[in-house]
Amino acid sequence: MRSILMIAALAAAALATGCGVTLSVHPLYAEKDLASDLQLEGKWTDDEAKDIWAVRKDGDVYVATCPTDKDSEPIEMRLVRLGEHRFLDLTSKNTPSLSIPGHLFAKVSVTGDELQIQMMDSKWLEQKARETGFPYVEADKQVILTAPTSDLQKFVLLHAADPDAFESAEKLHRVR
Amino acid sequence: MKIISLLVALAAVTLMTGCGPTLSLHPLYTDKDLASDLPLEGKWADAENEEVWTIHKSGDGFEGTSPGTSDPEKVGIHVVRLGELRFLDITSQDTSSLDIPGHLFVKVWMEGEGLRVQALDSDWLKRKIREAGLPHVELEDEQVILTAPTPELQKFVALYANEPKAFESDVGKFHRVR
Repeated sequence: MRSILMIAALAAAALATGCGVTLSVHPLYAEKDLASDLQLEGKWTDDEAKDIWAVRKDGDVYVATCPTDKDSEPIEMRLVRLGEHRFLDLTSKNTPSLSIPGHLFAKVSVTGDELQIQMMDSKWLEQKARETGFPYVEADKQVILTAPTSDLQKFVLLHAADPDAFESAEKLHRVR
Repeated sequence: MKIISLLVALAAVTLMTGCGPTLSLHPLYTDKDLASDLPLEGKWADAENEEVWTIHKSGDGFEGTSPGTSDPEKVGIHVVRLGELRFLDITSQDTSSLDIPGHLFVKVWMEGEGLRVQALDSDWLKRKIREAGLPHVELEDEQVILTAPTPELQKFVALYANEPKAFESDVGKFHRVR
Protein backbone atom coordinates (compact mmCIF):
# COMPACT_ATOMS: atom_id res chain seq x y z
CA MET A 1 0.00 0.00 0.00
CA ARG A 2 1.37 3.38 -0.98
CA SER A 3 1.22 6.80 0.69
CA ILE A 4 1.20 6.74 4.48
CA LEU A 5 1.24 3.02 4.33
CA MET A 6 4.26 2.94 2.09
CA ILE A 7 6.15 5.76 3.69
CA ALA A 8 8.04 3.59 6.09
CA ALA A 9 8.94 1.12 3.37
CA LEU A 10 9.79 3.92 0.97
CA ALA A 11 11.98 5.66 3.49
CA ALA A 12 13.60 2.42 4.59
CA ALA A 13 14.38 1.47 1.01
CA ALA A 14 15.74 4.91 0.30
CA LEU A 15 17.97 4.75 3.34
CA ALA A 16 19.12 1.26 2.40
CA THR A 17 20.13 2.42 -1.06
CA GLY A 18 21.91 5.43 0.36
CA CYS A 19 19.48 7.95 -1.09
CA GLY A 20 17.60 9.36 1.83
CA VAL A 21 14.08 10.67 1.78
CA THR A 22 14.01 14.46 1.90
CA LEU A 23 12.84 15.35 5.39
CA SER A 24 12.43 18.68 7.15
CA VAL A 25 13.54 19.55 10.68
CA HIS A 26 10.70 22.04 10.95
CA PRO A 27 7.01 21.18 10.66
CA LEU A 28 4.74 22.48 7.91
CA TYR A 29 2.36 23.90 10.47
CA ALA A 30 1.92 26.32 13.28
CA GLU A 31 -0.94 25.55 15.64
CA LYS A 32 -3.28 27.92 13.81
CA ASP A 33 -2.79 25.98 10.57
CA LEU A 34 -4.08 22.68 11.90
CA ALA A 35 -7.34 21.48 10.41
CA SER A 36 -9.77 18.70 11.23
CA ASP A 37 -12.20 19.02 8.36
CA LEU A 38 -11.28 15.77 6.63
CA GLN A 39 -12.62 12.48 7.91
CA LEU A 40 -9.26 10.77 8.31
CA GLU A 41 -10.29 8.64 11.26
CA GLY A 42 -11.19 5.06 10.61
CA LYS A 43 -9.75 2.08 8.77
CA TRP A 44 -8.28 2.30 5.31
CA THR A 45 -6.98 -0.13 2.73
CA ASP A 46 -5.89 -0.08 -0.90
CA ASP A 47 -7.22 -1.98 -3.92
CA GLU A 48 -5.29 -5.08 -2.99
CA ALA A 49 -6.63 -4.95 0.56
CA LYS A 50 -3.41 -6.53 1.79
CA ASP A 51 -2.99 -4.34 4.86
CA ILE A 52 -5.44 -2.33 6.83
CA TRP A 53 -4.36 0.91 8.45
CA ALA A 54 -6.16 2.32 11.43
CA VAL A 55 -6.20 6.08 11.92
CA ARG A 56 -7.33 7.52 15.22
CA LYS A 57 -7.44 11.09 16.44
CA ASP A 58 -5.62 12.11 19.60
CA GLY A 59 -6.04 15.84 20.15
CA ASP A 60 -4.62 17.62 17.13
CA VAL A 61 -2.76 14.51 16.04
CA TYR A 62 -3.87 11.62 13.89
CA VAL A 63 -2.04 8.39 14.67
CA ALA A 64 -1.81 5.76 11.92
CA THR A 65 -1.00 2.18 12.80
CA CYS A 66 -1.07 -1.01 10.80
CA PRO A 67 -2.10 -3.89 13.05
CA THR A 68 -1.78 -6.32 10.14
CA ASP A 69 1.91 -5.55 9.64
CA LYS A 70 4.00 -6.08 12.74
CA ASP A 71 7.01 -4.33 11.18
CA SER A 72 5.19 -1.11 10.43
CA GLU A 73 5.88 2.02 12.44
CA PRO A 74 3.16 4.10 14.06
CA ILE A 75 3.05 7.42 12.26
CA GLU A 76 1.83 10.76 13.58
CA MET A 77 -0.02 12.92 11.10
CA ARG A 78 -1.11 16.53 11.34
CA LEU A 79 -3.68 17.83 8.90
CA VAL A 80 -2.48 21.22 7.68
CA ARG A 81 -4.59 23.88 5.99
CA LEU A 82 -2.69 25.89 3.38
CA GLY A 83 -5.08 28.01 1.36
CA GLU A 84 -7.59 25.71 -0.30
CA HIS A 85 -5.28 22.75 0.02
CA ARG A 86 -4.88 20.19 2.76
CA PHE A 87 -1.55 18.60 3.53
CA LEU A 88 -0.33 15.95 5.90
CA ASP A 89 2.75 16.52 8.01
CA LEU A 90 4.04 13.04 8.85
CA THR A 91 6.46 12.16 11.63
CA SER A 92 7.45 9.02 13.46
CA LYS A 93 5.56 8.45 16.71
CA ASN A 94 8.57 6.95 18.48
CA THR A 95 11.62 9.05 17.78
CA PRO A 96 14.61 7.86 19.84
CA SER A 97 16.07 10.38 22.24
CA LEU A 98 19.23 10.82 20.17
CA SER A 99 17.37 11.49 16.93
CA ILE A 100 15.55 14.45 15.49
CA PRO A 101 11.95 14.02 14.32
CA GLY A 102 11.85 14.41 10.55
CA HIS A 103 8.79 15.85 8.82
CA LEU A 104 7.52 14.49 5.52
CA PHE A 105 4.81 16.29 3.55
CA ALA A 106 1.92 15.02 1.43
CA LYS A 107 -1.12 16.50 -0.25
CA VAL A 108 -4.35 14.88 0.92
CA SER A 109 -8.04 14.86 0.12
CA VAL A 110 -11.04 12.79 1.14
CA THR A 111 -14.02 12.28 -1.16
CA GLY A 112 -16.70 10.07 0.23
CA ASP A 113 -15.00 6.88 1.26
CA GLU A 114 -11.88 7.52 -0.77
CA LEU A 115 -8.69 8.94 0.69
CA GLN A 116 -6.21 10.32 -1.83
CA ILE A 117 -2.63 11.03 -0.88
CA GLN A 118 0.22 12.47 -2.91
CA MET A 119 3.64 12.42 -1.28
CA MET A 120 5.98 15.28 -2.14
CA ASP A 121 8.55 13.87 -4.51
CA SER A 122 11.84 13.60 -2.63
CA LYS A 123 14.00 13.85 -5.74
CA TRP A 124 12.12 16.89 -7.01
CA LEU A 125 12.35 18.50 -3.58
CA GLU A 126 16.07 17.87 -3.39
CA GLN A 127 16.65 19.24 -6.89
CA LYS A 128 14.49 22.30 -6.25
CA ALA A 129 16.30 23.04 -3.00
CA ARG A 130 19.67 22.85 -4.76
CA GLU A 131 18.49 25.03 -7.66
CA THR A 132 16.76 27.71 -5.65
CA GLY A 133 18.95 27.87 -2.58
CA PHE A 134 16.03 26.86 -0.38
CA PRO A 135 17.72 26.21 2.98
CA TYR A 136 18.94 22.66 3.42
CA VAL A 137 21.82 20.64 4.81
CA GLU A 138 23.23 17.52 3.24
CA ALA A 139 24.27 14.98 5.85
CA ASP A 140 25.27 11.43 5.05
CA LYS A 141 23.86 11.72 1.51
CA GLN A 142 20.50 12.82 2.88
CA VAL A 143 19.08 16.24 2.06
CA ILE A 144 17.47 17.77 5.15
CA LEU A 145 15.38 20.90 4.78
CA THR A 146 16.18 23.53 7.42
CA ALA A 147 13.85 26.33 6.30
CA PRO A 148 11.51 27.65 8.99
CA THR A 149 7.82 26.77 8.92
CA SER A 150 6.69 30.02 7.31
CA ASP A 151 9.12 29.53 4.39
CA LEU A 152 8.14 25.87 4.06
CA GLN A 153 4.50 26.87 3.79
CA LYS A 154 5.21 29.46 1.08
CA PHE A 155 7.33 26.94 -0.82
CA VAL A 156 4.82 24.10 -0.62
CA LEU A 157 1.90 26.37 -1.49
CA LEU A 158 3.79 27.80 -4.46
CA HIS A 159 4.21 24.31 -5.88
CA ALA A 160 0.94 22.81 -4.66
CA ALA A 161 -0.44 22.56 -8.20
CA ASP A 162 2.81 21.48 -9.84
CA PRO A 163 2.43 17.82 -10.86
CA ASP A 164 6.21 17.35 -10.85
CA ALA A 165 6.35 18.24 -7.17
CA PHE A 166 4.28 15.25 -6.11
CA GLU A 167 4.28 11.54 -6.62
CA SER A 168 1.32 9.97 -8.36
CA ALA A 169 -1.84 9.88 -6.30
CA GLU A 170 -2.51 6.83 -4.17
CA LYS A 171 -6.08 5.96 -3.34
CA LEU A 172 -7.26 4.21 -0.22
CA HIS A 173 -10.73 2.99 0.54
CA ARG A 174 -12.55 3.16 3.81
CA VAL A 175 -13.14 -0.21 5.45
CA ARG A 176 -16.61 -0.46 6.93
CA MET B 1 26.78 2.96 31.95
CA LYS B 2 26.51 6.68 32.13
CA ILE B 3 28.73 7.06 29.13
CA ILE B 4 25.49 6.38 27.39
CA SER B 5 22.76 6.17 29.97
CA LEU B 6 23.59 9.58 31.37
CA LEU B 7 23.25 11.02 27.93
CA VAL B 8 20.27 9.03 26.87
CA ALA B 9 18.61 9.86 30.17
CA LEU B 10 19.59 13.46 29.69
CA ALA B 11 18.05 13.37 26.25
CA ALA B 12 14.93 11.66 27.54
CA VAL B 13 14.54 14.10 30.39
CA THR B 14 15.09 17.10 28.21
CA LEU B 15 12.53 15.76 25.77
CA MET B 16 10.11 15.31 28.66
CA THR B 17 10.70 18.84 29.80
CA GLY B 18 10.07 20.11 26.32
CA CYS B 19 13.59 20.98 25.35
CA GLY B 20 15.70 18.41 23.61
CA PRO B 21 19.47 17.93 23.82
CA THR B 22 21.72 19.81 21.45
CA LEU B 23 22.39 17.38 18.61
CA SER B 24 24.36 17.78 15.41
CA LEU B 25 23.34 16.73 11.91
CA HIS B 26 26.99 16.17 11.06
CA PRO B 27 29.46 13.92 12.86
CA LEU B 28 32.45 15.24 14.80
CA TYR B 29 34.80 13.07 12.76
CA THR B 30 36.06 12.14 9.38
CA ASP B 31 37.72 8.76 8.90
CA LYS B 32 41.17 10.16 9.69
CA ASP B 33 40.03 11.46 13.08
CA LEU B 34 38.94 8.11 14.47
CA ALA B 35 40.99 6.75 17.37
CA SER B 36 41.31 3.23 18.65
CA ASP B 37 43.45 3.86 21.71
CA LEU B 38 40.66 3.60 24.28
CA PRO B 39 39.78 0.11 25.57
CA LEU B 40 36.04 0.60 25.20
CA GLU B 41 35.14 -2.98 24.38
CA GLY B 42 33.62 -5.03 27.14
CA LYS B 43 31.13 -4.55 29.95
CA TRP B 44 30.96 -1.38 32.00
CA ALA B 45 28.94 -0.46 35.05
CA ASP B 46 28.27 2.76 36.91
CA ALA B 47 29.30 3.23 40.52
CA GLU B 48 26.07 1.73 41.82
CA ASN B 49 26.25 -1.22 39.44
CA GLU B 50 22.72 -0.32 38.47
CA GLU B 51 23.35 -0.55 34.79
CA VAL B 52 25.67 -2.75 32.85
CA TRP B 53 26.41 -1.78 29.30
CA THR B 54 27.99 -4.00 26.73
CA ILE B 55 30.16 -2.40 24.11
CA HIS B 56 31.55 -4.24 21.15
CA LYS B 57 33.44 -3.24 18.06
CA SER B 58 31.27 -2.54 15.06
CA GLY B 59 32.75 -1.33 11.78
CA ASP B 60 34.99 1.64 12.39
CA GLY B 61 33.35 2.32 15.74
CA PHE B 62 31.49 0.58 18.54
CA GLU B 63 27.98 -0.44 19.37
CA GLY B 64 26.58 -0.11 22.88
CA THR B 65 23.58 -1.88 24.35
CA SER B 66 22.07 -2.09 27.80
CA PRO B 67 19.61 -4.98 27.81
CA GLY B 68 18.74 -4.44 31.45
CA THR B 69 17.29 -0.98 31.06
CA SER B 70 13.54 -0.52 30.82
CA ASP B 71 13.72 1.21 27.47
CA PRO B 72 16.95 -0.01 25.91
CA GLU B 73 18.37 2.06 23.10
CA LYS B 74 21.12 0.71 20.94
CA VAL B 75 23.72 3.36 20.24
CA GLY B 76 26.63 3.75 17.85
CA ILE B 77 29.84 5.16 19.28
CA HIS B 78 32.88 6.59 17.53
CA VAL B 79 36.01 7.65 19.38
CA VAL B 80 37.29 10.92 17.96
CA ARG B 81 40.81 12.29 18.34
CA LEU B 82 40.91 16.07 18.70
CA GLY B 83 44.51 16.97 19.56
CA GLU B 84 45.41 15.26 22.80
CA LEU B 85 41.82 14.76 23.84
CA ARG B 86 39.28 12.10 22.95
CA PHE B 87 35.59 12.61 22.37
CA LEU B 88 32.74 10.22 21.77
CA ASP B 89 30.34 10.82 18.92
CA ILE B 90 27.16 8.99 19.95
CA THR B 91 24.20 8.24 17.67
CA SER B 92 21.07 6.18 18.02
CA GLN B 93 20.99 2.86 16.18
CA ASP B 94 17.23 2.63 16.54
CA THR B 95 16.41 5.51 14.24
CA SER B 96 13.24 4.90 12.26
CA SER B 97 12.77 5.80 8.64
CA LEU B 98 11.17 9.15 9.45
CA ASP B 99 13.82 10.20 11.96
CA ILE B 100 16.94 12.22 11.31
CA PRO B 101 20.02 10.79 13.03
CA GLY B 102 21.56 13.17 15.55
CA HIS B 103 25.12 13.19 16.87
CA LEU B 104 25.86 13.87 20.53
CA PHE B 105 29.40 14.75 21.63
CA VAL B 106 31.04 14.00 25.01
CA LYS B 107 34.58 14.16 26.35
CA VAL B 108 36.03 10.80 27.40
CA TRP B 109 39.20 9.67 29.11
CA MET B 110 40.63 6.82 31.17
CA GLU B 111 41.55 7.22 34.83
CA GLY B 112 43.46 4.09 35.71
CA GLU B 113 41.12 1.36 34.62
CA GLY B 114 38.08 3.55 35.02
CA LEU B 115 36.27 5.23 32.23
CA ARG B 116 35.31 8.89 32.60
CA VAL B 117 32.86 10.85 30.51
CA GLN B 118 31.77 14.44 30.65
CA ALA B 119 28.89 15.88 28.67
CA LEU B 120 28.89 19.36 27.22
CA ASP B 121 26.79 21.71 29.32
CA SER B 122 23.60 22.20 27.38
CA ASP B 123 22.88 25.79 28.43
CA TRP B 124 26.48 26.86 27.87
CA LEU B 125 26.50 25.15 24.50
CA LYS B 126 23.34 26.84 23.30
CA ARG B 127 24.57 30.24 24.42
CA LYS B 128 27.96 29.76 22.81
CA ILE B 129 26.50 28.47 19.55
CA ARG B 130 24.35 31.60 19.30
CA GLU B 131 27.21 33.92 20.28
CA ALA B 132 29.70 32.32 17.94
CA GLY B 133 27.21 32.14 15.10
CA LEU B 134 27.91 28.45 14.62
CA PRO B 135 25.42 27.30 11.96
CA HIS B 136 22.34 25.85 13.63
CA VAL B 137 18.56 25.78 13.58
CA GLU B 138 16.30 26.23 16.58
CA LEU B 139 13.15 24.18 16.83
CA GLU B 140 9.93 25.44 18.33
CA ASP B 141 10.66 23.71 21.66
CA GLU B 142 14.00 25.62 21.79
CA GLN B 143 15.99 22.52 20.94
CA VAL B 144 19.11 23.57 19.07
CA ILE B 145 20.26 21.47 16.13
CA LEU B 146 23.78 22.07 14.90
CA THR B 147 24.05 22.22 11.11
CA ALA B 148 27.73 23.19 10.95
CA PRO B 149 29.93 20.91 8.85
CA THR B 150 32.42 18.60 10.54
CA PRO B 151 35.53 20.87 10.25
CA GLU B 152 33.67 23.75 11.92
CA LEU B 153 32.37 21.44 14.64
CA GLN B 154 35.88 20.18 15.33
CA LYS B 155 37.30 23.72 15.59
CA PHE B 156 34.50 24.74 17.93
CA VAL B 157 34.80 21.71 20.22
CA ALA B 158 38.62 21.83 20.24
CA LEU B 159 38.54 25.54 21.11
CA TYR B 160 36.54 24.88 24.27
CA ALA B 161 37.78 21.39 25.09
CA ASN B 162 39.62 22.61 28.18
CA GLU B 163 37.09 25.22 29.22
CA PRO B 164 35.54 23.97 32.50
CA LYS B 165 32.33 25.95 31.96
CA ALA B 166 31.75 24.14 28.69
CA PHE B 167 31.12 20.84 30.44
CA GLU B 168 28.74 19.49 33.03
CA SER B 169 30.32 19.48 36.50
CA ASP B 170 29.16 15.91 37.01
CA VAL B 171 31.70 13.45 35.61
CA GLY B 172 30.36 10.00 34.78
CA LYS B 173 32.54 7.30 36.38
CA PHE B 174 32.47 3.69 35.23
CA HIS B 175 34.31 0.55 36.01
CA ARG B 176 34.86 -2.55 34.00
CA VAL B 177 32.79 -5.62 34.85
CA ARG B 178 34.90 -8.75 34.63
